[in-house]
Amino acid sequence: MESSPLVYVIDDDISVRESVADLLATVGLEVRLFSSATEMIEVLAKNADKAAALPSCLILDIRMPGVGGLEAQERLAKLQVYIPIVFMTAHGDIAMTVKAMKSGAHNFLSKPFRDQDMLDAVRSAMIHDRIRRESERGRRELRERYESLTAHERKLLSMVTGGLMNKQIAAKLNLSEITIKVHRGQLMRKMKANTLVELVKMEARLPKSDR
Amino acid sequence: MTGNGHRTQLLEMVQASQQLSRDTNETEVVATFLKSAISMAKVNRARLIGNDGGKMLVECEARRSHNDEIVVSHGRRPVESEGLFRNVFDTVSLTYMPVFLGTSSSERAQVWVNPQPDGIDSPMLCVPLLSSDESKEMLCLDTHSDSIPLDWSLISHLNILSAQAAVKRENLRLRARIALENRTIEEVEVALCANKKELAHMQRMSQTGSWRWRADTDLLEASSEFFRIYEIPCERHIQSAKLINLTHPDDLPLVRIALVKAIAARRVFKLEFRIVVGFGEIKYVQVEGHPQTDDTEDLQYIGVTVDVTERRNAENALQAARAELARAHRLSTMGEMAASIVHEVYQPLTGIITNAEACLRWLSKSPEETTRARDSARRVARDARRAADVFRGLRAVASNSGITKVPVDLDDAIREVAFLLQGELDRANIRLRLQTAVAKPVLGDRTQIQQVLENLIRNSMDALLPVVGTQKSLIVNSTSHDSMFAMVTVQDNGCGFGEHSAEELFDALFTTKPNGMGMGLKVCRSIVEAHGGLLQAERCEEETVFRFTLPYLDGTSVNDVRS
Repeated sequence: MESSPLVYVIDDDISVRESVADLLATVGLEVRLFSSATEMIEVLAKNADKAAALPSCLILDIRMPGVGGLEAQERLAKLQVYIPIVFMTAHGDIAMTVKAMKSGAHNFLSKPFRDQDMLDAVRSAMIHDRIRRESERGRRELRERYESLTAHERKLLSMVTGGLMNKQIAAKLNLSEITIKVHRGQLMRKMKANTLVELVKMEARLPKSDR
Repeated sequence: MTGNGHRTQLLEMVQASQQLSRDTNETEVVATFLKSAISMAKVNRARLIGNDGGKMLVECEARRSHNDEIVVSHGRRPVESEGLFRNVFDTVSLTYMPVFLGTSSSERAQVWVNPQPDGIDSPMLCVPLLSSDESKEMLCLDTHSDSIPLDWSLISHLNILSAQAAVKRENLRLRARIALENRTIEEVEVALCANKKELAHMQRMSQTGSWRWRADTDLLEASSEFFRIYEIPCERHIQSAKLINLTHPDDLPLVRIALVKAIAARRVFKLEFRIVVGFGEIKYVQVEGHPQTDDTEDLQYIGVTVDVTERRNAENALQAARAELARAHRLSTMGEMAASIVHEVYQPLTGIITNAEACLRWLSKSPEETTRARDSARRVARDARRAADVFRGLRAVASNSGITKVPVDLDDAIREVAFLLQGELDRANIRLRLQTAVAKPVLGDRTQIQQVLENLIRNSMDALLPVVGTQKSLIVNSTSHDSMFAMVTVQDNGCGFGEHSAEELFDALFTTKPNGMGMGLKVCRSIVEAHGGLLQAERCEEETVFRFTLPYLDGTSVNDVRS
C-alpha cells in the first residue's frame, strides 16, 4: 500500500498557495508548497530516484518572478520528469494555453477558478499519474527479470517466442530435447510466466535495446 | 546781270528746295545744297566745313568738273590750313556775316578780311550756315577771281537755302532718332513682355500671387496667379470686400481685426488664414503686405498671397499621425497597466474564493472540522484586506506617488504648455490669451502641473469646438490668490458642462464628450490636491472657468499645517 498521494503547489502568491493547499486538504491530499519554481525543481531533482517520494501532480502558476510556469515545464521535461501539471493563470490567453497543452500540460485553470474544477483537475491528473507509474513499474520489473537471465536463457527466449518447437531448438543448439525442456522450465520460472502466451507478451513489452 | 542773275538764282533755289524736300538722308541733303550753291554762285568748288570739337574738317565737297558736271565727294578730311579756317569759322559764327578771303588787297574794303591769308589757292567766300542748333558749319565757296564783287542777294539766297537744308537735316535727324527710339521701345516692350511671362510662370510655380491695394479707392490690382488662387476670373481691379468675403467664416473676425490694425498703423502685416473657393474647397493662404509710403497722402499696400494649402495639409497629416501615435502609445500603456491590475487583483481574489470554498467544505464534513474552517475563514479576511490594499496602492499611483516637489516657475510652465499647444490652437482657430503674473515660485512637480494645465486647456478647446460665429476665446490667467497660494484660471466661452453641477464634473467616469473617458478632471483634481491646492469649476454667464491653487515655495510650512 502506497502513502497518500502528494501534490506540489507552486505559486509566488501566498493567498493562492495557501488557499489551494487548504482546498486540497479537505479531500485528504498531502500538499507541499513552493513559492518559486526553482525551489520545486531542486527538490524534484533530488528525489527523482526515489519514486515513492515524487508528487503525483504539480499545480503551477504561469506568471511568477524568475522562472515562470512554462519554463519550469520545459526544465522538467529535460530532467525526464513527467509529472502531470495543472497550470493556473490570472490572465491566460489562447497562445499561452496552446503552448502549455502542447508541451503536455494536464489542465489549465484561470484564476479565480471554481473549487470543483481544481479538485477534478487534480483527481484526473493523479489517475493519469497512477496509470503512468504502474506501467512504468511493470516495465521496470520485467527488465529486472530479463536481466536475471543467462546468455543461454536469453537466446532460448528469443527462439521460443520466435515460435520454434523444442525439437527444432535442440537441433539448432546441438543439445538433447530433454535439456531444452529443463532450460525452458527455468526460463518460465525466472520470467514469472505461467503460459507461453504470457511469455510472448512479456517479450513484446521488452525494450528493443535490451533484447 | 543783276535782274537776270537774280531770277536765275531764284529758279535754282526753287529747284534746290524741291530737291531738298525729296531727299531722304543727310548725305543727299548736303549734296543737293552744295550743288545748288555751286550753280547759284557760279563757282568751281563748294565745301562744307565743320568744327568737330575744335578740329576743322571738310565734311563734304562739291566740284565743277571740266565738262561742267558737279561731282560731290563725301567723307571727312582735314582742311588745308587749320588756323586760318578756325579764325574764319569763329568770325562767321560770331557775327553771322560772310567773310571773303581774297588774294589781293582790293577786296579788303568790302568785307572784314583777315590779314593776307596763306595756304589758300583761290579767293574764298565763307558763309555761316544757319541751323536750329548753334552753327557748327560754314559754307566755303571758291570764287573765280579776286575781282568778283560780293553779291549780297546771292548771300541771302544761300542763307535761305542753308536754312532750308538745316531744317531738312534736322528733320531727318529727328526722324532717325524717332525711328531709333521706336526700335528701342519695341525691344524694351518685347523684353518686358518676356519678363512678365516669366514672372507669371514663377508666380505659378511658387503659387504666389502679387497685388497692390489703394486705400482711397479700396481697389486691388493683382497678378493672374492671385486670381487663380482665389479661383475667380481675372479683373483689372477688384473690390477688396469681394476677397474678404471669401475668407473662411471662422477666420474672418481675426483677419479683419489684424488688417484694420495694421492699416491704421501703416504697418507691415503677415497673416495666415483659410479661404473658401470654388464649390466650398478650403485653401490655406499666407498673406504679407507692405505699406508704400510715398510723398502723396494716398496709402497703398503691395504684397503677396501664397497658397500654402499643400504645406498645411502635410503639416496637418503629420500632426494627426503624431497624435495617433501618442494615442496608441497611451492605449498600450493603459492595456499593460490594466493587465497588471488584473493580475494584482485576481491573486487575492482567487485566495478569497478558494478559501471560502474550502471553509464550506470543512463545515460540511461530519463531524464538522471547525478549527480548519476557522483557519480558512481567517484567510478569507486576510486576502480581502490584501485586495483592498491593491486598490489603495493604485489610487496612490494615480494621485501623489512619484511627486517630486521642487520650486517651479509657474508662469514659465504655463507658457511652455501654451507653446506646445499653439499649433493645435491655431488650427482650431482659437486665440489663447495668457495673463501671467506670478512673481514667486510655487512648490510642486512641474510635469504634473503642466499635465493639469494641458488637460484643462484641452477641455476648453473641446468645448470651443462647436462655437461658430463669435470669437472663440480662451484665457489662461495666473495670479496670487493670497500670500500662501498662487492661482491659475482657465476660462473659455465654449459650450460648457450644461446642466450638470460643477462638482459632478470631478466624479470618475463623468464626461460630456462623445469619446471621453471621464478620468481627466478626476486625475487633475487628485494632482492638485496632492500638491495641497484646490481645483474648482464654475459657470458664469457665457464663460466656463476652472481655477486651481498651488502653494508658494515660501508658504509650504503653513500649507503643511493645513493639510
